Amino acid sequence: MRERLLKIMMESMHIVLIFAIVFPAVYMFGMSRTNDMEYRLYLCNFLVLLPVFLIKSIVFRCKRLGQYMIYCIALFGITTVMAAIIAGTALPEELHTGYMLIVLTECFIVMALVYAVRQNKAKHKKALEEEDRQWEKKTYSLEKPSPVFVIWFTFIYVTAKNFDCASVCNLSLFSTIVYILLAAAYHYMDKTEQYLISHQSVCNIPKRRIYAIGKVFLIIYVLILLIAAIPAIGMIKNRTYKDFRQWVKERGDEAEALMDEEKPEEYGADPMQDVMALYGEPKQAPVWVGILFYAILGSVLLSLLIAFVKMIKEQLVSFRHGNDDNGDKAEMLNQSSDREERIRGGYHRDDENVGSVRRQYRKMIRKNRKDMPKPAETPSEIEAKAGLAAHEEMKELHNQYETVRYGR
Amino acid sequence: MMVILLAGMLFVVLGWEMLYKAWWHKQIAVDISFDLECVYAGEEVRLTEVITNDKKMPVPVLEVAFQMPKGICFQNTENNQVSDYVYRRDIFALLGNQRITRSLCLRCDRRGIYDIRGLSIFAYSMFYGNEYIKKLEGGVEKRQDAKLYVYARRTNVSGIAVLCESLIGELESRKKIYEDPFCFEGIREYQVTDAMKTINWKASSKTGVLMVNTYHSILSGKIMICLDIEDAGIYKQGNLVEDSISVAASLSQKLLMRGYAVGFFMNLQHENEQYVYMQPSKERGRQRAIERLLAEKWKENEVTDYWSGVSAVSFAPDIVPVFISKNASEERKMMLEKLLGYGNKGIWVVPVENGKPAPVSSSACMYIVARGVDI
Repeated sequence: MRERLLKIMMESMHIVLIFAIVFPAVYMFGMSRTNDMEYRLYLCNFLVLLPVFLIKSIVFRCKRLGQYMIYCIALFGITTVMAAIIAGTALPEELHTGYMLIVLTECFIVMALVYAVRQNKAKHKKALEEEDRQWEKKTYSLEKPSPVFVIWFTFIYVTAKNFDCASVCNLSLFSTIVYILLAAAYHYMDKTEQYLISHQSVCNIPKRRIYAIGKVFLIIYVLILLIAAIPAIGMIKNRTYKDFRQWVKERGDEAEALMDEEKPEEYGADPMQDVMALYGEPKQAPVWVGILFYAILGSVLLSLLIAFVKMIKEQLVSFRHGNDDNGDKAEMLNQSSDREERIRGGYHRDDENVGSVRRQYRKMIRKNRKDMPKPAETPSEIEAKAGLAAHEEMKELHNQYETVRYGR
Repeated sequence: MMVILLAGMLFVVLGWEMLYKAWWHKQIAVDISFDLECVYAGEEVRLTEVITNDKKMPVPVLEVAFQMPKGICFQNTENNQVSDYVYRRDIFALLGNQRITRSLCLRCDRRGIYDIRGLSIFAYSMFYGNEYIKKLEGGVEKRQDAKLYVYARRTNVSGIAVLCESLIGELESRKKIYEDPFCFEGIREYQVTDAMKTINWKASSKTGVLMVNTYHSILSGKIMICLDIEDAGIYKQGNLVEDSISVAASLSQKLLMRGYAVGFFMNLQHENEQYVYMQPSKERGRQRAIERLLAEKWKENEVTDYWSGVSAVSFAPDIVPVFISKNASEERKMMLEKLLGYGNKGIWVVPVENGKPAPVSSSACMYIVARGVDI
């Protein structure tokens, strides 16, 4: 159940990531752009995640189209209300209509797509039952995360770069990173599930173990992918931009007029300039502050990494030793190889006990007997010659010594 | 930036694939063995698979495939494919520095020698796109305990054994035989019925278990088992031949346990000889040698003519011959009686189809024991 919900969540995120960049990209083409409005639009578009997740969760419970339509209408209504609230609180008035339109259009597309996928799966199941080999299952491009959609984000990135829009560039870059990680995780989970389904008749298959170890493998893979993305993130400041609109302006008067209209002067002079003129140039922070900052950041990241590794190890504790559900016996090699070394070296678990009993016995006998006992003498003869045969303490030590000398 | 990002991620993806392809099979050991060296047909045995991953890198999915001759059944047959061999494929998942032990129950239906062949391991790339295969040569396939001897099925031969003993002149077990203390025969493991005075302490201290001396008997019973495995003709009667083999194995075991010297003859080409011939003896490895010989599979062209071979065997007066052959006729019975000589007696065990009468009847010197066998 948990795996299924996780899959639905990932499929929903995939659709949301693709749609969320649309409004900021459209806004980017506009003549008047407010600072960081693209980020706000992007975040507001994440409202679509709720109806997408809900509709994907309930679609297979709807037996008929009518039932599905009722759910869709209800979700549509809720989404409209929420969109209106968000638009009213977070966005300027001129963007309200555009935002509502885009969100509701996205909802509609997703609802139609989800129903089409559901119908396709039902037909596929029926074809399998009837052994209809001629029926081919359709695949919808938006159904599952796919690395192909990186092209979409790349297109947005290149366009934003040529429209002098740093925020949309950043959004598309981070969306690409998140999307690639999401696609990798989803693809791995999907393929593992398909592998287990194709081998479901195999006995003794360790499903839990395959899932658990596979997840650890996947986490390491995703972490490495994330590390590979760090250089790209670090070079954001070095990004150069072009403005396509500037290029158009140079080509004609109309473009120039558009460019003139484009430059908003609503804010007037920058008030910060006056403040800066009053206080002068800001002082550069001392070097040690920078070093201290990076040291703290590094230690925090290291601590997080150690905690993360510990968490993964704890997850796998149950798979290191003991018996699995299918009867397999698992053991870690370090412990058993240590034991083998100890045994080869002649060390047994009870060696310490054996040694101490022998020492005690020897000490007792030497106290009371001057000559060395012969190898052929039995413990009773040794004690009799030492005069300890009737000694109370000696009786218990005698039993222990006999166990150690003659026992296995 | 996007180019750097995509290039970096592509590098990671390709690098991961290459490294996993190069490393997944390193320091992986597969050990497959039977818990017993030999069992009887119809009994169960355990097959233990021990997979060891001696490196830090985990292997999420590892498939181990091997094949064995037909005749052995796994309790869970889902992982099997059966054609001319039994092909088995098991799936494991290993963490780094981990060993997994799996024990499977097998039922041995037919006699034979079963060994593990064609051991291979399989793994998959990150997204199950590519399958990697590694064949494991040597190692497991040459281990002694990777081979299982399934001896012929045990069958009730009490009647035949009693008949043998009566022909030898004794009615009870070897306790009635008087041992000659001056004729040292050999050493064997202690049994409850042995006297303490026969314990060989020196041998016991060397082996770690109690060992006793055995001596030759004054009256030592000798039996010669002559087995016929020929199944000529268009209508094959394999079950009758199998029953003959079971009788020979069970009878030799029973008689050796009772202290008789057992010899063995079989019409099979073996070690450049036309026939298998062992003189009557009570030596320690005799039963094992007979069982292993009978466990082997042979081709039809290796089976030689029984009657000409038996004719060449000399039967001393103190040897009781037991002929086991389904190819019975009165002529052959007369031939055997002539072979035995005047005054000597023998036993002929004739496996027949259930419900059918024996083709020959007993005479003064040849006792016929007909065994009904289901076809």
